[in-house]
Amino acid sequence: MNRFNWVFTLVIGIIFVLLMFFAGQPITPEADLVQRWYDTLCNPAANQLLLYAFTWRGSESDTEFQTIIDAFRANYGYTNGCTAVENHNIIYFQSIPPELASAVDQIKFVAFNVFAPDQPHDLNHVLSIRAGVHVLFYNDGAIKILPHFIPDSPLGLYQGLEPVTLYNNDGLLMGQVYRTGDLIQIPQNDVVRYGIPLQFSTVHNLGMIWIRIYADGIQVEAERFANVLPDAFQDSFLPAYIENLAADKVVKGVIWFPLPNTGQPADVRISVDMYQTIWDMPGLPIIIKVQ
Amino acid sequence: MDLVSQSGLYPRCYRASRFTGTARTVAMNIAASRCISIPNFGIPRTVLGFWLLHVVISLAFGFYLQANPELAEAPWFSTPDWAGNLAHWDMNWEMRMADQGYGPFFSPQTSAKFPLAALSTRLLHQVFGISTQVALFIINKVGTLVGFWALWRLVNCLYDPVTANRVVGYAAFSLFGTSFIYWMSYPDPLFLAWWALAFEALFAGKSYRAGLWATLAVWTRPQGALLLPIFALSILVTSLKTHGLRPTLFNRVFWSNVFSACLLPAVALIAWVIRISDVTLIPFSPYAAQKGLRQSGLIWPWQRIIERFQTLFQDAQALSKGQWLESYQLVLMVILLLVVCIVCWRGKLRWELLAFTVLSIFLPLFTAIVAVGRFAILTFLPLAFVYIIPVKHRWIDFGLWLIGLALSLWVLFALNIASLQMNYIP
Repeated sequence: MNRFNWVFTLVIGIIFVLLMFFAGQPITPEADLVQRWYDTLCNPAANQLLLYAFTWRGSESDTEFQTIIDAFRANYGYTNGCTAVENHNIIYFQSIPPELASAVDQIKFVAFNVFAPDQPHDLNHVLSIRAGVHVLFYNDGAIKILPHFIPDSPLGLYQGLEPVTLYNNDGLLMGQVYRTGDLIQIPQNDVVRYGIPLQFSTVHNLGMIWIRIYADGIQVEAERFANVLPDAFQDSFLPAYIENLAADKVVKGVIWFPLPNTGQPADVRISVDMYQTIWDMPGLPIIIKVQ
Repeated sequence: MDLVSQSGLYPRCYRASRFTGTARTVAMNIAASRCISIPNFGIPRTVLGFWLLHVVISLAFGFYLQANPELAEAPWFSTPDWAGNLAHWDMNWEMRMADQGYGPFFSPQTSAKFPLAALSTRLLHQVFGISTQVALFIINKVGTLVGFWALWRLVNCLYDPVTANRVVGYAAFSLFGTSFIYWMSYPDPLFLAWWALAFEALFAGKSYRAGLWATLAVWTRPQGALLLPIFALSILVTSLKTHGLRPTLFNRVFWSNVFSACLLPAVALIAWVIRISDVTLIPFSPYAAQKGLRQSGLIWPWQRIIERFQTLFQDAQALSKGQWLESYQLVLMVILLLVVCIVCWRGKLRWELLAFTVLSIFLPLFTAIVAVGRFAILTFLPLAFVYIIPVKHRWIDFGLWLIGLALSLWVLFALNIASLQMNYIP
């Protein structure tokens, strides 16, 4: 065997060893961390310290945070546990907004499929993004996980009627959102339907806008159908997901959510994500205080 | 000056009697210095020219998308920088593998992928700190250069430099419209390099080195496994022609050659299949994962072709632009296969290359992949044109390269810009 073949054989041997290790070895520790975080979230009986230690929760106190977690479990049917399956195919770096550039080293989005105990484990690309979390790596070494049920954002809280500029996960300017009026209330029997008047303007073609609503810190589901509203409000009805908007378009309307008729919420917020395509990942949430 | 001297690269396995004068002397000198056996890394200008053109097209497209972020990105996620714009489609899975390795519950796409490009990406990322998308770009461009160079060497070894130049042109600007594999950061060009170098070594009688190149091939694409039976059969046939059946079976050199060429890649492939099946929890990954990915199981290749032709004749209006492109690729593939079969029948093409080409194309058709252009470009099919078009009509070569370039550019734009998509799955 000549010298070239010896060297070549040695290279093949090294590649072989590397491949054997490489196969099951991620270089992204956040995948394991988020898996453990979700496992804890899915198991109310387990020690919850991991959630408290790693969740980015803004100004929420321990009690408020526990209330948020409990509400999340109840809303999604996870009170008796759930199973979280990481979607390894959607773990991706995101652009760092200028506001966080000095504090944050990198941001990754980790997608997850989460299943209630009686639910079949059908992995779903889009749903895994909706249940995904942002992982923030701070310059000081701290790591924080930001799920979408937290009614706060590292980017701060926007108040008033000023327009808010929205960017996608790549830091690309997508458009603006305006709150065009105060909270609307329509008492109907045992529920009160609350409406938030909004106006969106787009800079680019948009795949989707996702609007989330939080009442007193708890994520609540937006109304899905206009026919539950009085006729006068049905034309302006906005759903939580608005898909396929052209560039330079203005969309105006009201998004609605119901609450039991037991008292008005003291704190109402919305979070708005603009996606370049319907399969895109969300950027860091933009939270706007409505009331 | 003759073309052999001009190229700066001298064939190592050619028949010296085909050359005269200076070329013959040089050839004999090279043959005499074979004991050193260090490959000559002089790269022909034709290869460099085509490669540079691909680099320019690639960078121009990447930066064009970067400068025009309003163009909606293609399916699968990517960063909006130039290198990210070249890493849509399958490169998403390559990036996932580089980042995450393999694992259970991954969507089938990564389980069905081979690891060499992803491993190289990870190494570049970890050693030099460059982003995964830039690392993929580098690997693609290195693969393209080595691939063209290897193809040139192989054809030069079998024929002459003029034919080698022409073949590289047809591979670079594929009439299948699939030259986007050299522009986007696909790992495919690496495979072109490995199999071409492996065959060159095999035909030069260097069976162990052929096995080494084949080892890299089996870690790069599923078609790499096809090299092993072809190598074994080739060595057997050669030995039978020389020694006959009985002496061959008891000939130590014969068995030594077979094991030299096939043992290492076979062990490498089996080890990888066992390891990856264990990691992904899919038995016989990545091959079985490929089957599951395509959902339809195995299907006879001709059945798939017949089905598409039936649709063409009965319900052509139902076909999208992408399906028309697939159909065109199928038709072109069938025609070129006929050409290379005839050429092989006439003794002008090594049967090993024909077998590799046929099996390489049938493998995706088995798993219901109709868009065979990406696979055909990695075989010996591009060679078919040099048999059809006489050397004296070189303008036809240039015309066809231009058509291949235009077609491939169209496919590149259609793949990467959402508004231009035509339902073509590469």
